This record gives sequence, C-alpha cells and structure tokens, in this order.
Amino acid sequence: MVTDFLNYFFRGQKCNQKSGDPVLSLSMNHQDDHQLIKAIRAGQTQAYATLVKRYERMVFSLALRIMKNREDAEEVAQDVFVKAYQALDGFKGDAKFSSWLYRITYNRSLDMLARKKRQPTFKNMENMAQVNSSQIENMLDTMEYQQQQKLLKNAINQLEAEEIFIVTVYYYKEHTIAEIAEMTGLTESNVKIKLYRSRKKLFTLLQAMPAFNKKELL
Amino acid sequence: MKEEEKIEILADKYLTNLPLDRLSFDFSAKVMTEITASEINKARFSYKPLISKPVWATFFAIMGAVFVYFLISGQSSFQAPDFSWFPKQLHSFTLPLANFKLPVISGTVISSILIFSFMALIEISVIKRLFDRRTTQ
Repeated sequence: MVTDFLNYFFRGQKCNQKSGDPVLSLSMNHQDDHQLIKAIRAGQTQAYATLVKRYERMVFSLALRIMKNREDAEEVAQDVFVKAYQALDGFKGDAKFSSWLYRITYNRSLDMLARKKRQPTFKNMENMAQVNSSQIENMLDTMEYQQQQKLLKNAINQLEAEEIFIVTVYYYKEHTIAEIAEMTGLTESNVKIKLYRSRKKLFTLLQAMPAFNKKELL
Repeated sequence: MKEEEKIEILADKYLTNLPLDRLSFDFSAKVMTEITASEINKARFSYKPLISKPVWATFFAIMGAVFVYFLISGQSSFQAPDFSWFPKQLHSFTLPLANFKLPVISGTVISSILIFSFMALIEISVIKRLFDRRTTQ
C-alpha cells in the first residue's frame, strides 16, 4: 500500500523531471525547443538557460551512469551544454534537439572515459541465468521505494556504456528506437537486440544481488 | 507468456519510473556564465577577414575570365582591344583606351600568380579554423 502510494507519487513527479523545476516547466512548456533555438540564434543568449534547465538532469544522469563519478559527470554535462551552444548553428533541426544533445553526451562521456584511461567495471555475462520475473517483481514490490530505486540504479551501473545509454534513453519514454539508433549509430534491429539483452542482463544482475536473497531480507 | 515478454513488462514497470539524478543547484548558472564568457571572448577575438568573400569571388571571376581569354585566344600577352566597331561618335572616348598599353605579362607569370593566390586562400581558411579552435577552447 505504502509502495503503491510512493510509486504513484513519484510517477506524478516524473512529468516535471525534464525541466528539473516544476514552475519553470509550466511556463516554458509552451515554447518548444526549436522556437528557443530560433531565439538563441537571434541573439537571445538567455533563452539557452531554459534548454539547459530542461535537459540538465537527463544529460547529467546519462553522464553519471556511464562515468560513475559525480564530479566527472558534472564536468561532462557542463562541457556538453557549452559545446552544444557553440555548435548550435550546425544543428539543422531535422532531429529532436534532445537527440542531438544526448548523442553529444554519449560521445563526450566515452571521450572522457578514454582520456581518464578509466575502464568502467561492468559485468560481462556470456551465459545469463534464467530470469525469474515473478520472483523479482514480488521482491521489488515488497521493498521500500528508495531501496528499490537504489538496487535498480546499481544494476544499471553494471551494464556497459552503450547498454546504459540505450536503457536510460529508451525508458525515459521520450525517444523511439529509430531515434536511439540514430544517436548511437546502430541499426534499429541492433538497438532492439541490445535493448533485449540489456534488460535480461539487468534483471539477471538484480537477481544475483544479496538484497534479493530472501533469507537476508527475512 | 514467454520469458522475453515477462522481462519487457517488468522493465516497463520499474525502469520507466526510475528518477533522474540531481546535480548541483547552480549548474545552469555555471553553464550560462561559461557561455557568456566564451561569447565575450569570441566577440573580442573574432576573426574578420580583411577581404570579404564577395570581393574574393569577384577577383577570382576576373582572374578566371582573363585566364580563359588567353587560353582561347592563344595569345601570350595582352593587347589593347579593337574598338573600330564602336560608333564613330564615340571614337573620341575610346581613343585614349586604344593608345593605352598594358605591360606584357607572360603566361607563366599569370599562372604562378593564380597558383599563389589559390594557395594563400587555402592557408587563410586553415589559419582561421585553427584560430577559431583556440579561442573556443
């Protein structure tokens, strides 16, 4: 009952997550990205602040999940917004501004990882165990909301950079498979396969976590 | 139901609700400060060519026309044009032009000027790009 209420409450909050600021999102939602870009190109630099507010959390979350370090992720996010602003004239507007921005985020995060010569630790799972989905569902439902979110995020963090990007963008429910394919440079069928594998890997990882050991919970 | 479908339903249920991470409260202010600083920097050090693109285009069009003229006519030097076809009333105006003689320029010199101009144009664009990259970093 409590979990259901919390889920409902946070689901309601999600509609305002994109801007990060509920008040701002209400007043600015009428202006779409392309109108804002038009204004920026016309010299209204401050209009870019709205775009930053609108996408900062998604850009930061993507960078954080790939980089696994808050300082690095914030540096990447800042760099992404500055570079995007400088390259705004090159944005043709055929695709969504967010697609373009997320692609920059993905590439910048990979660049930063390469520059720092830091290989993220991810689980390479050749043979994945059978996922007991009903057991996972039962366990997740009995957990406190915060613990549930923490476990899911931990599982996502163990995926590979490409998988993290695909899962995060896809489940933000803002972009289609075709758009994700364009962002990652993969084919649509490849994205679908990777999405399927990532989901399975994620729940296999979740299933193997100590918190999912019933004895420990009891 | 297949395992694949069950996992998909499970993912839809739990991953769609996953909240995004929060960053420092002054993040957007920091970004805008950096952008404003880069704008000021850009305005201060922005590259403005001494010769504009239309002027370059006109210059090359004239050069090209002269080159093509020599190529077609087979002449190795410039000669004053024949104004005899002009109406007689206008001869007084064309007379000074008929007496005007340009220095003789060989085809080799013209070719080398053309090649040099072309190379200079390439170099200017390369230097501009390099300059832009330095100022934006």
